[in-house]
Amino acid sequence: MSTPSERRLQKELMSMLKEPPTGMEVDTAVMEHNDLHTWHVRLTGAAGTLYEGENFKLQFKFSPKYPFDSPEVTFTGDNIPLHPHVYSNGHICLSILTDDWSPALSVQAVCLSIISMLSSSKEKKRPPDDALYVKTCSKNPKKTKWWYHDDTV
Amino acid sequence: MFFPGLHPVSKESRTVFSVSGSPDVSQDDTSTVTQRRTSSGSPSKKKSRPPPLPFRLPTEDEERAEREKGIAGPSSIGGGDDHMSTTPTKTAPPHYIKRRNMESKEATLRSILRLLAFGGHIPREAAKKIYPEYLIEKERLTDLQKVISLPDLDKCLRWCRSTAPDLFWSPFQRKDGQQSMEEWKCFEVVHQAASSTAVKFMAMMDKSVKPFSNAKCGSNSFEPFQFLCKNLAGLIFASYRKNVKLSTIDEIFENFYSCGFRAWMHLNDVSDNDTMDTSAGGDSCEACSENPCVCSKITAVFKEANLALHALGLMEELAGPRMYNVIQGDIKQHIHKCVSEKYDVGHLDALMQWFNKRNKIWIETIYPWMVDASEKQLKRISEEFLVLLLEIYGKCIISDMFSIIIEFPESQPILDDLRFCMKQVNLRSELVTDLKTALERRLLNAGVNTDNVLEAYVATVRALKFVDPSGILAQLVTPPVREYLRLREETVRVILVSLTDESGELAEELIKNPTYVDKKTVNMTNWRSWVPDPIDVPKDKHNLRKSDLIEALVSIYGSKTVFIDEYRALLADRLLRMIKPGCITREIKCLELLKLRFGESDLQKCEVMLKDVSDSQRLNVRFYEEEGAALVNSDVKLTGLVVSAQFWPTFKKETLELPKPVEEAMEKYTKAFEMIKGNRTLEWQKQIGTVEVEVEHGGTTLTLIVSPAQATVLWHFQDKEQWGLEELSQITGTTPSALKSRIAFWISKGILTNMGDGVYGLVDSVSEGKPTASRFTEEVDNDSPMTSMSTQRATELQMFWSYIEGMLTNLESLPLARIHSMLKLFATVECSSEELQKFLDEKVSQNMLVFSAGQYQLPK
Amino acid sequence: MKVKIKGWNTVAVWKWLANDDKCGICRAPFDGCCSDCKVPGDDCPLVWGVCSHCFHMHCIMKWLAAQQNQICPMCRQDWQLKSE
Repeated sequence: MSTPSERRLQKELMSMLKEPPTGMEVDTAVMEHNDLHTWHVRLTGAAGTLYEGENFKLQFKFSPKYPFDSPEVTFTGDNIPLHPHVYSNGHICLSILTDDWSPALSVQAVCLSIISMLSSSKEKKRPPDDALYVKTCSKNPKKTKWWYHDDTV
Repeated sequence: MFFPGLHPVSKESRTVFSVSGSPDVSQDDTSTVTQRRTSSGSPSKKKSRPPPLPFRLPTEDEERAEREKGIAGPSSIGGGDDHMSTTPTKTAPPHYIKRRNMESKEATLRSILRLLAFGGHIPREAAKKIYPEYLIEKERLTDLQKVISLPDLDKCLRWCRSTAPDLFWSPFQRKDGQQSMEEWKCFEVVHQAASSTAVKFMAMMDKSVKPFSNAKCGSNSFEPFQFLCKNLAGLIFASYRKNVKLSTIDEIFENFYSCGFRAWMHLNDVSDNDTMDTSAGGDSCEACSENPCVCSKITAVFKEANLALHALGLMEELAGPRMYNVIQGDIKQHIHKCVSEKYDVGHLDALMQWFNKRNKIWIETIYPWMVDASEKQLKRISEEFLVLLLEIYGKCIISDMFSIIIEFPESQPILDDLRFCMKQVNLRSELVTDLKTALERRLLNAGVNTDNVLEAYVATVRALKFVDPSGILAQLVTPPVREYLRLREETVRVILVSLTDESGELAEELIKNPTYVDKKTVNMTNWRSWVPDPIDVPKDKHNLRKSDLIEALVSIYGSKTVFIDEYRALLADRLLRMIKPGCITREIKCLELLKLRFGESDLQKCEVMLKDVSDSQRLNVRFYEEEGAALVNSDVKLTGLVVSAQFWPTFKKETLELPKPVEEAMEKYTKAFEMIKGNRTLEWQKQIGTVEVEVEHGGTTLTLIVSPAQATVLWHFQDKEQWGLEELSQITGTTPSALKSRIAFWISKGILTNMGDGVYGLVDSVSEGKPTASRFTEEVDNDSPMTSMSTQRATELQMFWSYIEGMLTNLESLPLARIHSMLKLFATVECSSEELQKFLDEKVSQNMLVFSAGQYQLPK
Repeated sequence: MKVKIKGWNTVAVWKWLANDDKCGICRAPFDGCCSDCKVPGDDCPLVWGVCSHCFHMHCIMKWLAAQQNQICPMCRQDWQLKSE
């Protein structure tokens, strides 16, 4: 019998597979070994934005407390988007991933937020403290005490 | 080096012999044999010693060594392996010369030599008797005697064993005709003598064989019989030369043995008495058809012939199979008479008694020389016969296995016998094929009720597990039956009905064996006793091996989940058909048993369903029966079954406008419900349920249990005696076609009538008299109010179609198993691999998918 | 002809009167039960916040217990039980 967090993840996966939302696709091939606690989602930059046509890969890691606990979300793969809130190690500075997490959010909602975060960017660049952060941060972005400075980008 | 009678061997070759005859000959022999084994075909060179010559005679040392070893069998020298020679000077014999062939040829050759020797082991007198003079022409004989005068037959035989096969085959290999060896000439003489004799013999046989082989020992049977015995040796030549067709020989021998055997039996009065009556005065003997009886003569000749054959060493080679046939026939006849459809008793004891008596006879008649043989030899032969008996008995049981299985457990005794037989003789594949065919022919056709098929399936599993507790047999035999049952719709119902029927044997099984065992746990404590499966056991995921009956039934459906789904559908159907939410103790009991069996989590939904029923029961009591109950004063006593939709199978959607009082009662009920269950409301499934109506018409009163739709239709005829179909369909909110079947129900009850032009009206009460079918008071719509489980799963699969398409776009082509495992990841898709396959194949037929080389892919 | 209905037994599906059909936290239907329960309805009730969002009681309790700020997962307003 699956655990509550697995059941919730199953439901999310089902709905994303049944009605795939635009710009994101769950990579089920890596999940084949029945581990629902790690997901890979392919994102496509939205049309009419700086990231149009680009493909990114997001990695989700869920704790057994999900959805009461937020997932650990990072960019992974070769293409980490150049964005003022995305560090070169894939960490994302986005409040809903930590302080503003809510169990009503979902993988789809998080992906949407990230796509819209990318879409609203006016300049492709790394955060100003990228070099320092990447050197000193923990592997888990949730351990970072984020300072959410800019809500407009 | 001594081999008299042969032409002197040239000096050179003699030298060669002595070279090869070095002191440690036995070792030489071994090494030669070993080398032969390893060098199959390609000649390989020996390191230190010169290659053995093909036709060399045994050295004295070799002979001594051999004598000491006491080995004289043909396989100890030369003739053993497939005769690959290592000599470069001699080409290897063809591969097709198999060992057995070699041996039999050699045996024949040996007999030729003995024959020609007119002496040796067989006393001259005896030999003369057995081998009539005319077998060898006089001049020839003298010729031969010139060439071969053999004072030492043994030596000759040894020579024959070691060289004759080579010699025999060598002319076939040497196309150049180069014959360097003197020995070959000797052989040729022998050979020619044999052939010419055979040719002559054939001419005689032609005249005499016919009457013999035609008649089943008819009149005058003795003469040819005697003749045959005397000419066995010639016959051997003939068959050796292939001048006589093998089938003819077979026939002759068959007759020879059955006739001889019968005569002997007759004489000893051991044959089955009811078929043979000796002393029916005046009539000819039944065994030999002669008057007076010549059985004793026949027997004497018969014995003599057997002895002769034995002396020739040809008994097994030539007569073996025929004799075997005769004995087999004897056993068969007896067994069939014994068993003759009596399955509730074991026959093994009686058969063994019979066997012990009969065995002696067989040995005495057919192996007369064995009478004085050692205990050990006798035992060996008896054992062979016993195995034959068990094989025949086992096959006899197997041939009627279907009936035996149907009678299980009454037929247990005979299955006990079968189990014993199968321990001694390998009859498994026979049993599997025969039973499978029988099951398919007698069980798996539309004429047989599902109950009976299922019963037979259960009996088969039980009976086979009785015979073979490891379950392998059941595993091998039952797949077609399971397959078939799965396709029959009512199977799960029948299973569950019998599971829940308290008096049924399946219910017993469920109670007896409730523990749910996780099959994955391997018992590590008795790994020592583990035995690998035979290779022909299919790797089947529905393993019947360690499972019990319930699992055998569940395995029909492939998986526990599918079976439980079916159970849920059945339970729902049953609950919805209840006249009102009422007594469900039996269902609860059954569910409890199933929970023990399958684990609680899978049956959670069913549990909620039953809880819904008992909750509703309480609700109805509260609304109608308690003091100040909310609905006590309603016009219509509406009782509701309030269900938790998430836990029930999907209900079929159907619109229906109910009679006004009923709709009002529903509203009231809903209000009362909302009062006690805050924030909750009800959605009525108007088409489901049962209605008890009292129809008063034309002086008669009918009380009927009908469906809501049926009740609604009739209801409207109260206000208006005639309705057009369209009109009625509008007011009831149902389709005309659905309406028609409801009207038809009332027509069958003699209340409504078709007035033509789509108009229906009440039957004129007075003239039409009493309703005809009033006795049948329970005719509820037989349609299930729910969509079937397989339809539900197909709908569910359809939702994943876009996903499957996406998967195939990315990965191009996938096998069924992979698609299934990917769908299973979502766990909420509970479909069996078969259902998925059905779904995908449908897509293939719609040209939305392509199936090739075991893989599904999107059409290009 | 007269038809008298002596008893009408039928089926009703119960539903929560909620503005959504799924719990925003466990994503299971309201008419089912939360991920910790096995029996729906009385045993796994819904609760409404002042903000008018509703959840399985067990789900929102779990969320609030894990959180310092008592906010509604849907609208992030302060969570307060709506009194009936």
